[in-house]
Amino acid sequence: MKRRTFLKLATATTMSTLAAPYVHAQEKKFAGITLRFGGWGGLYDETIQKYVAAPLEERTGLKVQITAGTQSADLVKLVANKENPPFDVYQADSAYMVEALKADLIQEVTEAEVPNIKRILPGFREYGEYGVPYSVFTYIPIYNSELVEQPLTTYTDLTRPDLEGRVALPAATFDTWSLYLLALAEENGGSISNMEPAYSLLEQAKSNILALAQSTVAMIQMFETKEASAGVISDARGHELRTKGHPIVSVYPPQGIYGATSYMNVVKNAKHPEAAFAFLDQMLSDEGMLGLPRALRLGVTTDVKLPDEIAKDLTFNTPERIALKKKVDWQKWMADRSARIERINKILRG
Amino acid sequence: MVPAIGVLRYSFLDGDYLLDGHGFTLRHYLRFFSDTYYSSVLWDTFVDGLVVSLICLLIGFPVGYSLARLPPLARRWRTIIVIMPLTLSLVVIVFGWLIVLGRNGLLNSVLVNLGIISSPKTFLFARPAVILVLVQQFLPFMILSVMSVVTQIDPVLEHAASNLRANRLVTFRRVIIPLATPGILVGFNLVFVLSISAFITPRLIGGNRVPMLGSLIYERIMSEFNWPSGAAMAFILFVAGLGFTAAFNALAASRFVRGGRHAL
Amino acid sequence: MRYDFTDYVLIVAGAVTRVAVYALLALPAALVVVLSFTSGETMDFPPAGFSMQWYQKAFESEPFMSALWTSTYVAVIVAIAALVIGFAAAFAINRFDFPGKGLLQALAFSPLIVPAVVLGIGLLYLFAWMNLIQTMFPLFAGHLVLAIPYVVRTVLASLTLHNRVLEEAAMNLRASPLRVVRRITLPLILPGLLSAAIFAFVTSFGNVTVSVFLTYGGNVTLPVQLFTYLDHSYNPLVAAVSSIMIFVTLAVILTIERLIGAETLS
Repeated sequence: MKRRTFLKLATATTMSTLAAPYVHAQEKKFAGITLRFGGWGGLYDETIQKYVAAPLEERTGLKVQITAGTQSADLVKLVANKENPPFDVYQADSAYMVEALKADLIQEVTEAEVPNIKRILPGFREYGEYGVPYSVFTYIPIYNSELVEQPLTTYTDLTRPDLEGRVALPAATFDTWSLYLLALAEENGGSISNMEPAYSLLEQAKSNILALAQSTVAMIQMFETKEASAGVISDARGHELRTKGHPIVSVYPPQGIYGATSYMNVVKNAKHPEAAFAFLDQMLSDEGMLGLPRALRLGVTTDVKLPDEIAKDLTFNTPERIALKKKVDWQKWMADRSARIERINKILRG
Repeated sequence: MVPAIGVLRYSFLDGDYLLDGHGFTLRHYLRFFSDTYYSSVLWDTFVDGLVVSLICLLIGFPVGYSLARLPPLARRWRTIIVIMPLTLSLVVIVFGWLIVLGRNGLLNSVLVNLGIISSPKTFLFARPAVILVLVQQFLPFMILSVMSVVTQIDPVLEHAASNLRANRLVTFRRVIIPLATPGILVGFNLVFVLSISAFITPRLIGGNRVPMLGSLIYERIMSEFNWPSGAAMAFILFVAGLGFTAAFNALAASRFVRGGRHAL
Repeated sequence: MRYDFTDYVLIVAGAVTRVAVYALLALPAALVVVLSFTSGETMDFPPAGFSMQWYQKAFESEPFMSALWTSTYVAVIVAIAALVIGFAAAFAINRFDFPGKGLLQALAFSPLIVPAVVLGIGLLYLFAWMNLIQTMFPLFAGHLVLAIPYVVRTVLASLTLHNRVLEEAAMNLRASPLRVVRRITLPLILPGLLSAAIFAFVTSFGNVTVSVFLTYGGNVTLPVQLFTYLDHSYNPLVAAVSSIMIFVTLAVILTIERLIGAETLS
């Protein structure tokens, strides 16, 4: 039965491909083609389906198959199948871009191929012609104003003695989320090459740590159940907690805000690079760009005009805030990853 | 088999990234054994595995035994309760436990209402919580293993023992336990092996505060992409786990034979 | 039967343990099922009210439903294949002496000690090398590797116990070996086979860590879909999908029981 449906489908696809030139000579440019997109699951994929994939299919006939996965498992799959990659488009955050480049998985994308690249704000393409940035997020301190009397103002405040046993931090395996460590270092006289201040601070305040969250959802739960009263979370998730009615305050530390960017990449040896370019172009268009801010309050990377009711909830909505965004040397940050993970594990156990 | 040999080979590569590197080095093994952190985690992992298996045996045996002696219809529904946890995705089980163990969860509200504790306590993110969830997760393996062997022990033997004026304790010790040993061993081995290689539970319930070797291996492979080192750790766990179960089984087998003679 | 004091202690302790164990085992699943019927938007306990809305959403969700189908048929095929292979291996280990028997016995168990990530990546590379990666084979093979040890161990325990006198009697009556296995051995170890089949099914049906490396576009299994969904979102839809998984497993278990059970009666 399965086989029959498959045959039917195959015949239908072939027929439509053959028929396409006669019926929709211009408008259905990608009829019969399926673009394979490595998704991140849940509402994220639904949003990309709705604002990027669906309008594109409407216009060009391109089918987009979103396969839910994780950055790391998808990377491993790509590494194992370089000749015949399982995806055409691979998503990576600033940290995983280092990995994707190191493993030689992605190709350059230029303005000639994706015209909307010209709309990307200056400074957002951290990797030259590699990677198309489509979203920004920050990791900032938050606290529950019902449980914490004295407001937090900096990352360092997370180590305050009054927060004993109530601080939720991310697992060290999250490379971008762990930027709070860099913040701790830089707020206390350290730097990316001298992380000691952060580690010794954490060592002293070890009893503050409730747990290291293994996923965003785990972190959100700790705040929903009031298990945690303070912690570090992405700006978008802080907003989500507020909309669910929790008294969560986001902190924008005056010494600087740490965050990262999400990129879409065309995989080397992709089956349909042209379709992938069209997909990226749609992502960077007004329609595509507004999806994630609307659904998840993630920040934008282009000059798109944001409606006020969305802009007011974003971190980077004024020139002053944008000025607080810290630059991160991702190569260095990723080179130190193993040592960082081992160090945090030992601090927590010791 | 092939993957296992592959793992062994990778563990000797001299690189630190994916499958980079070639040649032969013991560097990754040295890193493990020269740092007491790793050996202490390995030790903890085995202790946890043993504790989980013993608890499972202790509370799982009576249940498996009673299931085997129940009429088929009553057995069916209880078996289903036993199997249920196996069907749930681990992530979802963890959600269930968060509702129970959380700060405003069921356990806390019961304890506060009974006046046993005055204010809610944090039960999650600690070793007892991890052990509790591991027990719940792997207990079905013990119960079903015990059940499947006990059903094959003829109840006549028990009646005979009872007619010989043996009380239940004696009957259990002299007749049932020796005969059920294969099932007990299977259950014990399964639970032990599954516990020492568990990594999702220690990560989610332990919140990184309860390190087990499985989660360290997972991190090294999936976060650091240091496959040779991860493979070396996996191989150490593999050899240690296999060695432990083999030794345990040999010990149990010798006792089983002796016990069997007693029963006769 | 006679009872003395230790008997009573044992009976009471046994009853208490059983109640506690059933409660422990049922608790998380029961909570998830209860939450799946909530009319609210969050996973708060107790649920806000009764509704079927999350089931409706689950059934309307194309990714979840196609993943459910994939998971179900993969698990059924894996359970059948694991039962056949596992029984053959267990039978060989139990009945015949051959060189390397001890090794085979130990190895049959070994995939469980290799951490799942390592196994997943190993299989991924193996199948990439065989150029089979974007097919269903890796998933079947990966799950089989995980399921067979359970089957071998469970069946082996049953075979060790069961009485060979009947087999020998049948052999004396000139029944062919195959017939003896089918008519005598298999029915006698049915409870063991049943547990083995269920182990194999749920192992495949619930696996995330190995599957995550072996699935490819359009053939994602339900646990993987759920796992990635939970990375970003967390609402009663998760509870509804999990409850559907519970119901499917129950249906499969009851079917297996009926299939095997009916034969026992005849």
